[in-house]
Amino acid sequence: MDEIIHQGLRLKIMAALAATPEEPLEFKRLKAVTGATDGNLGRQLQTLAEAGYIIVIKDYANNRPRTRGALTAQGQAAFEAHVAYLGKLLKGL
Amino acid sequence: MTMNKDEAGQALAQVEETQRQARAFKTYAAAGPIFAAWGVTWLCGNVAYHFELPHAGLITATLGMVSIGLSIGLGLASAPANAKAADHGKALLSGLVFAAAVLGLMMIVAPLDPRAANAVISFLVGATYAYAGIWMGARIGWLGGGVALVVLFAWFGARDYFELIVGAAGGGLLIVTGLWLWRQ
Repeated sequence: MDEIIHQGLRLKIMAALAATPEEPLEFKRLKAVTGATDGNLGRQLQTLAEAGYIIVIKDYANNRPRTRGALTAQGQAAFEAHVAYLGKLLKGL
Repeated sequence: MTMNKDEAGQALAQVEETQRQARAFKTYAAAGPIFAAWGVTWLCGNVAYHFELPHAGLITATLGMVSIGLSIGLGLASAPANAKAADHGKALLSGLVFAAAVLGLMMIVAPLDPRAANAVISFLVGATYAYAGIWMGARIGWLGGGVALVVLFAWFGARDYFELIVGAAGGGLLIVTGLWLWRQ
């Protein structure tokens, strides 16, 4: 089991990023999808980034600061492995 | 730390629900400007007909063509970078099939009253959005249901003001909801 992904909000973040691999997700949308508060979401994004599972992109769009997150290849593999582990557990394997 | 079977099941359900929501929000953001564009067409076209403005038909047709162009352009722009030409083709084909279905329906029903034709097409659009919402995201479904109800109310409850109600309420609903979804 992946102890980093296992935590509830981090699992949701990874799931959301894995669902739309073709584009990084904006902080605002991640917040809406996960139902997290600003502070908690920021902390868990930082934890995932430090683990190398995601990259946090800070740039500007229409002269406004924008924060986005995207899965890394390492994060994608870790997420898939964790989901596979959960699936095996569910089947009692 | 270890997990039991129930916890694993809950975690997997949470993953599925989160991914469903993430995809729905992406759809909302892509579809929002398309709804808003059609809302402007509904608003201007229907209000022009209600007040019997000169060239109301031309105004509606022009705005309709602009909305069709915007729908195709925005649809292509929001498609994933790795989308295949076949995916674009399917999306375009879906639009053509819907247009052909509406055309076929109008040929069969052949309403002599242009207001009845407007009501049938408007209701069909609302019902289609409501149906699409089942698969693409609940908010699109609620929008479609709302539009369909506005059309039914205008037809059965205030037919003399049909265009005004459908334009203001139906078009307004499309514009406001479209802009809201766009920001998701």
